[in-house]
Amino acid sequence: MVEPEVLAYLFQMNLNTIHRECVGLTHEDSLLQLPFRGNCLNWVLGHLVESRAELMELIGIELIWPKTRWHLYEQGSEPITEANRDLAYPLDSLLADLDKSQEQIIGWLQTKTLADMNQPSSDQPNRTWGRRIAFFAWHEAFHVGQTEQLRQLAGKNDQVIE
Amino acid sequence: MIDSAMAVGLFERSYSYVKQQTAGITHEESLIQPPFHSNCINWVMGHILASRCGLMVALGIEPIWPEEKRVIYQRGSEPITDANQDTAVKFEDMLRDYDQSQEQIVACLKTKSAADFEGPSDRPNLTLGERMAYGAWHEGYHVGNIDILRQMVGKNDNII
Repeated sequence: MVEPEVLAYLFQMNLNTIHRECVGLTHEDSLLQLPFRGNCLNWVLGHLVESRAELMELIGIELIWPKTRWHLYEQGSEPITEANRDLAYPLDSLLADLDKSQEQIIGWLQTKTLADMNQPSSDQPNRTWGRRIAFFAWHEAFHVGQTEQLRQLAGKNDQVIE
Repeated sequence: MIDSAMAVGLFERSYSYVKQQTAGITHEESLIQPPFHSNCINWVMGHILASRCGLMVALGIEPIWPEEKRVIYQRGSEPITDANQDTAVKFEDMLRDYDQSQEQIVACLKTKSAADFEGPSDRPNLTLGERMAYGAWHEGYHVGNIDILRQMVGKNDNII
């Protein structure tokens, strides 16, 4: 059981943290590669938008990205590297899409009640809507943590989350 | 408001990811420094455990670590580097303590009622339910750190 207000709070913490970690970063910074296996900041942020599009499809609201845009940032997709960097979406547009999707998702949650969240979800009837959406928020937190390290990869040498 | 079942589900998700991400990592590997301003796996795992101690206090159970053991892993503490790595907790011990804390937290959460979760926590502005929701979010954030750090120590795999 989880109230829609708690879910909104989790999504808001995710977005607030992303914005703080991305302050002062350029599109070029977002494409910097880790010196070991891993994804760049651009992929991580694109993956978050893509994941939100999946959530939006699940809850039946307008998608922030059409499905044709998902493949570059889907789970298991190729990393964005020198070889395919021209396909990457600009950092500014990724952040703007996160903002817009936030308004849509929070707006939808504000129309829902605890009873709505306790109903079985449409894709996994053994799990409630609340549980499904909470795990989307947890998945975001996992990747939001990575933005902290990817900011430092760009040489900021600071600590924006205290 | 969240209920105990939701909190258990979130902590089980974190636990599962941590177990996968730390598989095969040695104490020495846990101390390898990232090539940028950041913390090693040992610090991140210790920070997760130190944070769990706070959650255990909020739940009214004995923290897995005493206060003095948490100091070097608290938010804002110095990174663990070559200069102070002799103070680091053995990674194997951390993983054992993480297992034990999981058992204790999940068992305790299962005894909590909806009324308990709507009641106060050790933080004046948060209910116990909100405290657990924030704790689960915080843990998820740092589990994401470990995903990157596992690759930094050279595992070169994709286990999630």
